[in-house]
Amino acid sequence: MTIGLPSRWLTWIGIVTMTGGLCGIMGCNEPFEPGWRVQSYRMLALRSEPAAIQPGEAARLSVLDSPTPNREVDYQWEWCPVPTSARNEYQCPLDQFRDQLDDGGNDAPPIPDDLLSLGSGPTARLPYPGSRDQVEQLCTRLQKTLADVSSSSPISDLAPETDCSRQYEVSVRLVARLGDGDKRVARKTVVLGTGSDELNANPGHDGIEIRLADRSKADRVRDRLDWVAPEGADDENRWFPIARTGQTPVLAGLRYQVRADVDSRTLETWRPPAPAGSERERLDPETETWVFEWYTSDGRLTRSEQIFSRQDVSTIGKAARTALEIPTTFGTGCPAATTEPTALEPVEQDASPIGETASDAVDAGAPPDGDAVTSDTSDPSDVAEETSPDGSTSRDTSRDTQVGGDTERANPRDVGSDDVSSPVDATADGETSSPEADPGRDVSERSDTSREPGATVEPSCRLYLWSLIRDERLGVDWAERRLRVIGRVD
Amino acid sequence: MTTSLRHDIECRVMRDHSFRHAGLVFALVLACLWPVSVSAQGGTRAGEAAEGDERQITKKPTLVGRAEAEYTEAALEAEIEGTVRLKLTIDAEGDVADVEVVEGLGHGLDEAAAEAARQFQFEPAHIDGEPAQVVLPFSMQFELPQRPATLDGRIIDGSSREGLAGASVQIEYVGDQYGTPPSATATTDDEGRFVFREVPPGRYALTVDVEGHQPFEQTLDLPSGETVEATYGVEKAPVRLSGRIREAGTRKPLAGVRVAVREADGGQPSSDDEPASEPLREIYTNEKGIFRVRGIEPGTYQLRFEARDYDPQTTQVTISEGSRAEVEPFLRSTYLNAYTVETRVEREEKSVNRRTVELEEMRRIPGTGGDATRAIQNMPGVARAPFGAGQVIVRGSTPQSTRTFLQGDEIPLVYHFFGGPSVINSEMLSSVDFYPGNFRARYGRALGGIVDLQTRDPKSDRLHGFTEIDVIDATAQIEGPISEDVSFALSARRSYIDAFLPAVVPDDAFQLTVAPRYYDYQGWLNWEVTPEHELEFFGYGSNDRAEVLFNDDNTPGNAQVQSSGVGLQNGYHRGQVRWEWRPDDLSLENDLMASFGVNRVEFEAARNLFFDLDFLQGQIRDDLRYQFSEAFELVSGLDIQLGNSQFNARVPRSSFNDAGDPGSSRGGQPRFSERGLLADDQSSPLVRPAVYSELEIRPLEKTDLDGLELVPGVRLDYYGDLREWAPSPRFSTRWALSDLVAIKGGVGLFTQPPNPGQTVPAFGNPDLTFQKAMHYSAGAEITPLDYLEFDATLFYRDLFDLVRATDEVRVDESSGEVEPLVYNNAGEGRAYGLELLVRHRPANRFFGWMAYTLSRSERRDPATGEWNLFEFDQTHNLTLVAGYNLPWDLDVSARFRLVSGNPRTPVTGSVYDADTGEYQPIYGEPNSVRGDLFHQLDIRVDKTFVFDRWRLGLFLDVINVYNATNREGTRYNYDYSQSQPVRSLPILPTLGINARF
Repeated sequence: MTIGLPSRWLTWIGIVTMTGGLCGIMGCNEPFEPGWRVQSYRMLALRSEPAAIQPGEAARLSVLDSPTPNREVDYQWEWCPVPTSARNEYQCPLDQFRDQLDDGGNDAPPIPDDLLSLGSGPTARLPYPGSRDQVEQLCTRLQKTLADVSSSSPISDLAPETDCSRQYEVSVRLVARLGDGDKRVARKTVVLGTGSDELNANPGHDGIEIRLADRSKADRVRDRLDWVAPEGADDENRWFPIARTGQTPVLAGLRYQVRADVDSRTLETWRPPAPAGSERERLDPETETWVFEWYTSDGRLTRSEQIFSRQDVSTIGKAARTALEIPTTFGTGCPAATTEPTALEPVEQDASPIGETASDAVDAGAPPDGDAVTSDTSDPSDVAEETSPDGSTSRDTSRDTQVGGDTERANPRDVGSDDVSSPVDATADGETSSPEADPGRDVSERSDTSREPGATVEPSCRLYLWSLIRDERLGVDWAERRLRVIGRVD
Repeated sequence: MTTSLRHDIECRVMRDHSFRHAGLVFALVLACLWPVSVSAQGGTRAGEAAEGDERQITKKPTLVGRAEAEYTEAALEAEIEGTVRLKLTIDAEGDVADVEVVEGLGHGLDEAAAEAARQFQFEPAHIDGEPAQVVLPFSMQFELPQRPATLDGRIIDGSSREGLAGASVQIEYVGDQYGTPPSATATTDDEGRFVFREVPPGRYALTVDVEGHQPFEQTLDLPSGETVEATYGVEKAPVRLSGRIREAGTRKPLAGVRVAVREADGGQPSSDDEPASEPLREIYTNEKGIFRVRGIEPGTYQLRFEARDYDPQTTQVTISEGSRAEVEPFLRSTYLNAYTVETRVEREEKSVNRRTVELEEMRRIPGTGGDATRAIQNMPGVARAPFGAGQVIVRGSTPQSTRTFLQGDEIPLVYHFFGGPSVINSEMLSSVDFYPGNFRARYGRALGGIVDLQTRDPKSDRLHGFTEIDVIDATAQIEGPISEDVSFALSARRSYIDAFLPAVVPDDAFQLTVAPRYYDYQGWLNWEVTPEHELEFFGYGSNDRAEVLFNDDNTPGNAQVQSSGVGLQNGYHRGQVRWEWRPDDLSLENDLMASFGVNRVEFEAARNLFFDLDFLQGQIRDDLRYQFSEAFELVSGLDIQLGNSQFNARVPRSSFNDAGDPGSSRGGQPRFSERGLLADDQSSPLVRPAVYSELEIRPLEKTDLDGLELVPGVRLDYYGDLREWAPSPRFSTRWALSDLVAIKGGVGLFTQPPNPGQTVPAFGNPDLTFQKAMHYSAGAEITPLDYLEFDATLFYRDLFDLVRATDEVRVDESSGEVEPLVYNNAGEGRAYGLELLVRHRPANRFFGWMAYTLSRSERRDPATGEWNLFEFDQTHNLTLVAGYNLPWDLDVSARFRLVSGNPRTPVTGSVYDADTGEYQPIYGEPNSVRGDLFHQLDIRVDKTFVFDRWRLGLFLDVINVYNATNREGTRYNYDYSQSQPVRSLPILPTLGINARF
């Protein structure tokens, strides 16, 4: 007797198990570059602040992406009132829905064609469309319409399974173009509240802290890394908040512990929907689960993802932490530390983002395992923005290379010796390719090589570190920090 | 005055020694003395004496002329013999004037005697010197003539009372009647009978000489014209020499072995070369391999044992006075396990495409581990399964569309760990029947094919055992007779990979709390109640288990589910009773089978991701075959499945896109509710009865065009979980145009219900209907030799109402909530192709076949309406299998496969899903890219060491001998910008050792 139980989680778990087992016996191919290592342009996260909006509110949309020195990134934001699909790059299939939505639609909200565009720039704004009733009725109508659509329709599989009286989800799409036809597409769901239920809020990420993994080496390196606490310092005091701006110096050949500084007040308790087949609608209140993700432009992370779940009696402190190893070879060529420590720039206090609403403080009880929790309510976004007259924003990606006035050596991949890492360097014949050039072509078939000969993130002495927190209800927050390798440990 | 002279005269009728035909008898008057009665005549005639005168006979009458009196037929028939007394009046001239019968025998003899006497001529008697008339008393004796006798006898053994064939019987006359004593010799027939005809009557000495028996002598009388019936019992001579001859390694008794007994030369043993002298005795072993020699003198003898296909053997034996010598030689087969066409009851080929793989072939196909179901994968029409898994993918159908039966009982689980070794030990099978399509109405609930494992009866001749150990598991089996009518078999197997796997697998990712391990067992009892009734009790089961604990710092999961470990247990236990009825006096056969079992599945990956199921299942089937006439036979039956499942399950929450949103393809995964699923102690009954009926019609029987068989049939299923009836009409035909050539064809509708879980409200769609397929096939067979066949078959099948996963939703009318449909019946498919098979059955130390399939199988995309290649479509599939018995007890077999790559859906790009933090692939046209050609060579070598009472086997099975790099799939990096091929199995040797007795 078989039941169609396997799902993506089972597949994943099975792959992990089998890979470990069988690969141990048979040997496997060389592993891929880990996903946490970011060495070309990439979008790491999209955020809606707040994660869910009520009528009259607007969501501020922002992107966390890796910097691209000397390359302009052109952002284009869109939204879609109906579900989207990856198979057409999350483009809004509004035409296919239009007839149903416009038909007899005194209650359906009007949808002008230009409403989908949210502008360009690294941030955007999505106001709550229409009224609560209009959104609810759109949701209801959509579900009923799609329930009647035959399986042969391309939109038959896009019906949202949601309680329209509580919320409705819309899609936000961001296309980032880097020129030369290179683009990235990402999708984020924004929740529109239609009921009185309390909506999800984003987790609060207050920054990244760092300390030496091996405290016995502290005294050896303190003269070069003045942020390192003495060997005798207690565990908690050894943590050093990496400055939001500037670059915190580090040495190659050492192992560091890094920790996400979380605002535990943002750890919410909620009542999840009961599973299908249950006799009730909602489960008992439970603390939401957070997933901590880490990315770095170089070095090695011991664990790039950890999960905090009260159900498993884990701790935030443990889940928020990982280790970063900077290999000795990384420091080759990097300038030695100066006699004076690098000046750390003060932490900036950002204005509250547009549309942010104060959410009730969540009683999370005692701080998890006694970890220090900051109460910094500053805007997690740490990227300088410029607001243009038309309200759109863009990010000056070129600024990153100028911080501290350092002259960065071109990346070793700079084959062309033009001080720029470009696609030309990565391909011998100078060709670039993208899946858009030939949608029917299986790009992975090209000699099993990387799809994108992209620019590197950063000259070799600088190291980016990103920390994200995702909750299980589409909420996300992040922090980006920069480290600078000033030499190697003796 | 009459003077009576009394002189008794006796005349005797002489025997005529010339044996004439019965009825021709005659009497002879011998010279005799007879009393003379002188009758004196009164008067003065000369010679007359006056009354009172005593005249003197001065001369007796002398017979000078005689006549013969004939035996009358009446007297012969009545077997009358005796004396007729007469009075002859002889006148003075010597003529017989008058004959008076004084005392007669009747039956015409009196008249015959008188008539003959009248013709006598005498010299007249003289009374006082003068011829005178006298009255002469005369006796004429009639004796029956001598007729041949018959001796009708039988020689039997004095103990067993059974007739002795080949006995030499001699009779020799011991009387003195004949100049040359007659004698004769005869040899008894198979019943010990002999007959001597035309034996001259008399006393004879009878002598009987039978090999192995004591000499016998007796005298007997054989009266004239009589048939003497006699039975003579002769006692056996004491056994002086005996033996039992068996096959080395198997202990199988060898019947018909020639045993030649010769004098030993000087007591020295002879070589195995053929000696020149004729044997003293030549005996053949009986069915038990036993021979006995009786009546041989003490001494030293040379025994030579010879049998076809066995190495001859010579030995020497000494028989002492008063003792008995015994020998127990073991003859070695010239070619061990020689592939020979065994005489078996030919099961008529009544199915359009039935393929059978015998146990001996199963054992030898490399790369299959002796697995019966994997052996089927080498047949035409069966696609190659990835990674050597045991799935049977038939003519464009999914693996779940092919059902596996064990003597008609559907097996709940075929493979360990869903694709590993088969749960049924092949050693308990005699063969496996495979139906790639157009199967008979007795099989149902399947769209693809049928695999029916045929068990063999436990060996009942003596105790047997088998054990085998290879890299993965160990097997033990024992079987034998309990009584004359009852035999048993027990078999068990267990893996031990769990013993060494933890040492091999790196523990940085996880710990193997319970390393994968499996076991299975089978046991059966066979009882021949009567020659017409046979009962069999069968029990079998299987269990798989594995548990993995992830290290604390490496637990997979996401926001919705976090796994600290994975545990799996999957098993079943089943009992089966079978009753076969084959009445001698009725033209019918009946097979009744009832089974009951419990299945258990447990899976747990997280507190909110688990599944456990207890499934009680019973099956009853009855198959009746009734022959109305030679041209008309009815096959009818009942096939009932009943069951109830009790399950608990939990599936965690997910977002719409969490399941990987490839649009309509969804990778085949169903879309469950985003809220997750909960099934708490739910039950789901299963009621699936079915009836079927077929007619086997041979309309041209007894004509020159016989060999045509038409088989129309229908099967009616009721699917209780669907509350639907499913009729399946079918038709097949086969026409043996000659002994060599046959053509065949079939068409039919086949149905298959959804898997039980697919209609459970918690996990599926209770409104599904059953799936359907139309099968069409036509082909031809050519069998130029008993062991050589050529087969070509064209097939087409049309699949519709297939269950497929879907993203569609529906609105619950009661709650108004939207819920996923999970499955629908929008699936549609088709498959067509040509299958070729050239097969050499086990004979002449060789077996093998070439199977080639040219095919195409497709599925229609409901969204676009276009036909796309089926995921298991393999345009070309060539499989070559061969095995050969070499000398030195060495067997070599090989398998080569050349198969088109499977189609796959290319990834043309990816997009970033910021909700999950993962990339979603963008797929190209479904199954539009075909993988590389697959090619692989597997070889197996078996070496057997033969000892007298057991055999030791070593085998080396090497998969992918030349380490071909075959691609089974593709793995991608995090954003699908890089890919790597997933390789098939590399070169993989397996060593094993087994022992049999």
